[in-house]
Amino acid sequence: MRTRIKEFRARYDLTQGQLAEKVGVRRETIGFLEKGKYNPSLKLAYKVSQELKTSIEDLFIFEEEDLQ
Amino acid sequence: MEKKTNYRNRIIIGTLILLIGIFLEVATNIDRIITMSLINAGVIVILISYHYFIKYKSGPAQDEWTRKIGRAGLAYSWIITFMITTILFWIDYFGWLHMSVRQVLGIIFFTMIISGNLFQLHFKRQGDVE
Repeated sequence: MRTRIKEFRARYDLTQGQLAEKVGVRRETIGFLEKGKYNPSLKLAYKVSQELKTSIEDLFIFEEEDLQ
Repeated sequence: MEKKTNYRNRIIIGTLILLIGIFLEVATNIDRIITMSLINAGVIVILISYHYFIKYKSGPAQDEWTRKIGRAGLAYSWIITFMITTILFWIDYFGWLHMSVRQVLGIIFFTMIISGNLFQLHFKRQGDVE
């Protein structure tokens, strides 16, 4: 899984800590999300996409192999 | 929104446990292992709360990532503890080693704590649990 969180975060000039505070998680959680290492819950994915004013589909990109 | 952790309350609770331990040690003849356990528990609660306060300030000490990893670590630890308990049972059954109840409980106790923490550390480094 790839994410575009970093790109969107930079667009709104947000640090990992600021985004983490807005969605109510730890900064490390945002770090692992950005690296695509952590599969978030639908609730967290929705909250992050709402904060970054985009859709979940635009933020989280699944490759074919991720879905197998 | 995740509930913010109130570190001040945790530090107050830790201090109370510590003070109760000191009071019992000084004013009563209660078994020393109880007072020492209370004093240790109080100090641990204070130090951990202070550490988290410095690291996370008013943010959550736990979120869905830490909870997921915590639960997975405990689940794997349960399996390891079950295996150790089974091994201890057969060791006792065949009479290979004679252990007291206290020794067996000690082995299980430390297996649970150490394996739980090791699994959680491993999953934290990995980033997720598959």
